[in-house]
Amino acid sequence: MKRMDYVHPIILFLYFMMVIFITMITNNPVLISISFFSSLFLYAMFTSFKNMFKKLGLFLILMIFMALINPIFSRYGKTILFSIGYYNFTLESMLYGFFTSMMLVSVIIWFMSYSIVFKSDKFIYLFGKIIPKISLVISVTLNFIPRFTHYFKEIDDAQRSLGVYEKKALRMKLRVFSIVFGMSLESAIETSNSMRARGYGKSGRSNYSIFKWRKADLILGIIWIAFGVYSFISILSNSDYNYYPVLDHITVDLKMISICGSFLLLAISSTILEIKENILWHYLKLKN
Amino acid sequence: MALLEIEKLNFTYNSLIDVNKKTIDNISLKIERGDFVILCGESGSGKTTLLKLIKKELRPIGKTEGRITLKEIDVEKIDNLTSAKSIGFVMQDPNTQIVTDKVWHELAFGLENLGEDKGVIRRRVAEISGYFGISNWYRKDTSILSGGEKQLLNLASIMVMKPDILLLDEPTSQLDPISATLFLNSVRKINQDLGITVILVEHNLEEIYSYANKIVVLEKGKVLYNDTPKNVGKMLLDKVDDKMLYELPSAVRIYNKLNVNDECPLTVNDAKKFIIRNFENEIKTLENKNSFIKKEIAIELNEAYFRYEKDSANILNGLDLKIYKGEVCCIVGPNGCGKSTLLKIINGLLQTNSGKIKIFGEKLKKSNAKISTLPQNPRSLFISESVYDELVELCSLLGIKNHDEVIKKISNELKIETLFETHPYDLSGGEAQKVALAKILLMDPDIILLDEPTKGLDTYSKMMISDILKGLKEKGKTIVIVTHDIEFAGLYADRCAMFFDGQIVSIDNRIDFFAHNDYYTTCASRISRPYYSNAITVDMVVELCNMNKRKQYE
Repeated sequence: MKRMDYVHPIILFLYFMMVIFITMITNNPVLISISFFSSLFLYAMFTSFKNMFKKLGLFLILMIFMALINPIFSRYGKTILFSIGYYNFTLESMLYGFFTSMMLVSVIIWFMSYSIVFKSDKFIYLFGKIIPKISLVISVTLNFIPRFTHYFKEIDDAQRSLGVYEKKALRMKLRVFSIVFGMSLESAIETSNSMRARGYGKSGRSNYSIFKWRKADLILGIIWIAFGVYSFISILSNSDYNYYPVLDHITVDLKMISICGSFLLLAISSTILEIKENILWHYLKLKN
Repeated sequence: MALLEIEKLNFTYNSLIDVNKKTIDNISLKIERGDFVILCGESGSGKTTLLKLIKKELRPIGKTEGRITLKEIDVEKIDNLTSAKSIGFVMQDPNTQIVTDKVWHELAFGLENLGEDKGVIRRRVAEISGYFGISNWYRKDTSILSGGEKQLLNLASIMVMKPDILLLDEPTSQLDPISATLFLNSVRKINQDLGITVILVEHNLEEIYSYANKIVVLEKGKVLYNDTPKNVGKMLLDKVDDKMLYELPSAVRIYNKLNVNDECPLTVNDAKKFIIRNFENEIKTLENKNSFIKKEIAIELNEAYFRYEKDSANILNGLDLKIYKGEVCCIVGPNGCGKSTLLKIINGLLQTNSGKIKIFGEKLKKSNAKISTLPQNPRSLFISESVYDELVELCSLLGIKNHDEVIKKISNELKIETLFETHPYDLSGGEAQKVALAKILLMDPDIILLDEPTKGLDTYSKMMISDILKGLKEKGKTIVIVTHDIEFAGLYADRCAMFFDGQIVSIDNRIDFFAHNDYYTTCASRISRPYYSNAITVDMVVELCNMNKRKQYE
């Protein structure tokens, strides 16, 4: 079990959304790099470093490819590195392609980590808070999907083993769908009977969940929101980073350090939590 | 005062063609707190209807007369919350009853509806998971549970609401025997430990019969008997040919056929003692008339290996099997061992990783022989609005010109003409199985494979199916049945094979097969051994008993 797994769903959701959102609104290469490396570390913590490097290889190829291909579409930039025929490959244009794709890749990796810890039950809980009925609808739907896939497989096998399948493939598939439809409707009626038999539809329904607020969740929440909001506001108030016509110079001043610092702390804190958990775990194991 | 009282209850379905036919005909019953009642009777006798009438949310549409009272309040007038809470209902299909996607949510669902607060729900759900031993699955998805686990979850999520009375409508019909036993034992435990009143509709009475303290036998909507298990066993004495008798446990059936003035045995152990008490064993065995004549080989598997994924375990593990033309071969074996996979390989749905399959001496792909499979769930074959359309549709797909004639012939054979107008989904289990078989027969196959054909059927329907199979066998069709139902295999198979660990570990004619098995064998065989040998059906045991002298008492 990962440490992030038992952070309260609301805080967990907020965390990922803040990190991903900030990554998406900035084009500052430093911030993007922070986001990129933090996302990689967290993904490595959730799966393994081996797994992370495997994925990284693919993403690096993508980023280099984007860096090479961007100059073909964008003719801006002053520093010409080399030219192939009609196309000038400028440093600015290549870096722009590189960092934009790095931003996209970071978002993808953040979402990959997100989907590891943020399973359907957390999602349902979260939206159940806002609209209680929705949570039940999602839960029922998620229960129906595997049931229908199972029906589909079962019916497809049954029809194929009748022995008439190969001759009229399209017609047979339509048959299968039509039977799946009938059986699904029938099963949905039984499910609704089961719901009624257990008292669904009466007023005053309550909402149960297995998630509890802990003190640690509140503290984490406050810290994360503070860093997140600060980074967000200062990124907005600071003017954008420009790649064209020449790269903006990154001035190392207090403001810049504070922005990068707070975002770094926000992005890397999840990894730190996991590392802390691992160390604690080893320590406890040694002690016993 | 009785907990549940049914007074002069009559019920007629609105939709029935014959409006005057009562499904429930003047039934009066009293059920006390803590009773364990088994409702039985052949299909169509009104068991399920009676059960559904007790739960107001599930009441079928029709005309009701008389009244049902729970704790002296008319069931119809109980307020909604109390009704949901105090009457628990477990249905047949384990899958369709499950509402949510997580086990914990499913357990909490009923309590959420009652509007209980979080703390109460947490405690009750924890308690119930502990009681049913399902705490390990607490955070799992409901879809990955097995059928038996799902049904146990359904029971638990009813019990969490603390009902006064638990109604179960054939809860084990879709389960394999081991899960079924496990489930019924849980029901018994609830009744014994907590004193919850149980009304159970069940076909497979072999094990559960002795647990009950009241047996209610229905016939055509009327109460035929209502007494203790022992007395009901005795009462049936003078009705030897009653269809009802087939539903009862082997012990009771042996007792009934022997006409001995002794107490009625209910379990295997009782029946063993009963026979030893009353009969000599000078003649110990019956001659085995079932010696099997081997003919042309229909299906031959040679060192077949199969697995689903590269890294997964072998499902078939060097399997050798020969099936001869014109035989009925039952393949039995534990749950999930790959019996259905074997059928899929024989009919070419899956390919073996290595090993040869020959059909009538030719390779599977090149063979002209037609192989058809009757799937576990006959409904997965139904597509039309009525049974007749169902058959016509397949005829047109197959390009059969004179379809009226062909359909007439087949439906005459299977006796399904009366069902022509019915919607396939309204058929009972046995009827659905017959219609599915009719579709299979339209294909005119040489080899018929059946996957659990007796699942969820009452004994009478099982007999009908086996009669049909006998007829097909006489026409020279080869029949392979994969089944859990040992009693069925013991009665009707030519040969039985035991499938275990990806191999056929034993294959023999049914008498030798079951006479040599000690655990995996029919009840009659377990009752008769070691006093007698080679007796694997009730009739054989009775025959042996009658051949021997009665013991004389002073």
